[in-house]
Amino acid sequence: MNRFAPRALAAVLLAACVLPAAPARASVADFVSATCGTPCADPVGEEQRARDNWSALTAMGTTQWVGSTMGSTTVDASGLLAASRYAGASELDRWLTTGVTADPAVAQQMSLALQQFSGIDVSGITGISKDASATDPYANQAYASTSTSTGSSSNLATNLVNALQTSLNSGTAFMGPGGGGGSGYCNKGVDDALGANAQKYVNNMQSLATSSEFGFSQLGGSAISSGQRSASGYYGSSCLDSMLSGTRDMLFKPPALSSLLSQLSSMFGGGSGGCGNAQTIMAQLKNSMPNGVFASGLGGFFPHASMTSFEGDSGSATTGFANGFGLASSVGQSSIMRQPASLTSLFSR
Amino acid sequence: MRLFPLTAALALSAAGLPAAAAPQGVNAPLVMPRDRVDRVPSGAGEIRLAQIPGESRERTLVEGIVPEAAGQPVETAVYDLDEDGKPELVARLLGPKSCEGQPARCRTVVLRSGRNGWEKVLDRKSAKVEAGKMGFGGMRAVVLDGRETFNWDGDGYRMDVAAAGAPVVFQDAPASFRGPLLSQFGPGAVKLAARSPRVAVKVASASVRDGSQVVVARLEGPGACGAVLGCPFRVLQVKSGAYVTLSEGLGDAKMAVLPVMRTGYRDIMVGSPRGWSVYGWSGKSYVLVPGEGGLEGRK
Repeated sequence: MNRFAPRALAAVLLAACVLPAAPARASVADFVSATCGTPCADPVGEEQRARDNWSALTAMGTTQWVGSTMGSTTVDASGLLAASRYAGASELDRWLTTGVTADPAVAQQMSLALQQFSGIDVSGITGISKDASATDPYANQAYASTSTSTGSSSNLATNLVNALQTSLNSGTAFMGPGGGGGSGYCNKGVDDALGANAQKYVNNMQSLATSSEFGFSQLGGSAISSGQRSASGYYGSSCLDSMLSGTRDMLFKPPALSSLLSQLSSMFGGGSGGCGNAQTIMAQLKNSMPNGVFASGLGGFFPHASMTSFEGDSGSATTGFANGFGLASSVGQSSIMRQPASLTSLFSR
Repeated sequence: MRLFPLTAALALSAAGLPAAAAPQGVNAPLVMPRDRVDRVPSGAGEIRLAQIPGESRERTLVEGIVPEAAGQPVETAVYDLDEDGKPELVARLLGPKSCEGQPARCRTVVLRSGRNGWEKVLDRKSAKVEAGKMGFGGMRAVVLDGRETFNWDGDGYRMDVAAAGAPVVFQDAPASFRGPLLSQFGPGAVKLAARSPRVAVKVASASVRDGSQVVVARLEGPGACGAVLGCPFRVLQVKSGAYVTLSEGLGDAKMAVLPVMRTGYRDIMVGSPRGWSVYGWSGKSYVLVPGEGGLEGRK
């Protein structure tokens, strides 16, 4: 046997390990040519910028948006990189997390970039193959900026856990570890923190429902916890209450009270009268909530948060958040972006 | 004013085919009118434009690159901005759609013959065009209306932001102000700066009114800036010991306070990798002034 053969074999193996894979390089070139154009004036600088942006996106936690949807497009790493190329990673993060940008045109361009350049393999930049799952495969990536000289790279997932746990106050965590959905999260700490956060929300809702002031309408108007009749809560303002008090238009025919009571009795009492089934129903309701919380469109990091559509001729993008319990809020644009139309007349020369 | 060599001008003319047989494309050689063949001006000074007839090679060239010129009066000047023997063409569109204000500032373009044929290297409304100082590559600057200077960068004309007003000079933010200034750019920027020492906060003061100054802060470094729009900046006012945001935008480090005042405060011009923007005081904040910004050259 040739005595050089083992060395040659070792060299080949070493090269296979050390040299970058050709497809990854090709994917970087594809991304650069797609975003910078062909020919690109500075492909080396563009690639370095993309790497810097990815490090920044990872450091800021912006990769949490991977897997969320925008219109009919699923946000992915290449879309985030393309959008950050336009206005910088920090401005992209600010827009995605708050809905605020310096100018509506910037938001429009970033949303276009997110959609137009999605689907390009940028594993040569991110270092992680594109995952088919809807969760964020980059969440556990350590910040590895080439510029970091302090060696203080830390784990994004750990930061997320700390942030979530800080926001929690005391509460009974009946969901336990992994209540956030289990296998959807690489980091158990994240899973636990999300579960605890969801539990806190459920507890709050339960407190609200059973409070004497805002309690849900109970038979006879009594709140569960206090035994007080609710005068200003849902009971006090409910349509049923108004109907029973006889203040409605006589032409409106309410359902027969006996029929309603019969249905309620059947539901809670199981046909035997009383409230024998009430505790069971309440338990079922409580158990069903956590699963609902984590049926998320954003990879689970922000339960029930979803990107609304980015359509409309104004080009302005609004990010809507719904918490899954019918309470919705929206993050709009900054006051600067909401200048009244008449303001522009000041500047017509 | 240096005169263009007659022989070179004739050679330029002779390179073109007779009008009847000449190709009408954008890249066809420019044949100057007979009365202007002998003199092609150059050097610093005003560029005087003259109206051209409805059918001419110059019009064909202009309409090929600026379709808006079709059907409206156009005035042109042949001028050798870099004195290389190959003149540039300055054209102004005089139709009502291309003009605004009084005196009328009309769309003005500078066309240059390069490796890929004729290209537009400047496009801006103006009433008066001058050739300025010689700059990069021996190409003279173009000064519009005596207040906007465009310098040649080898690829196109770029607005000289610093020359437009009082330049805003940035320096590193003092350590004690870094935190409060960073927070103006959002929580992501704070996180980013905590991880990367190369992310810098630059700060400058700008006199936007006599006796009244604002703070201008910029975020710079890897991940903070976009290739297209540049780096984020904030115009801030110190009020009750805290910063109040008067404006936010993106741009490069070229920034100037213009002499133009609006509602008592001076405009601020901000350069960007591909153009520039002008921010004016609305009474409450600095906002983008529509129509005052622009893209540079053919980009």
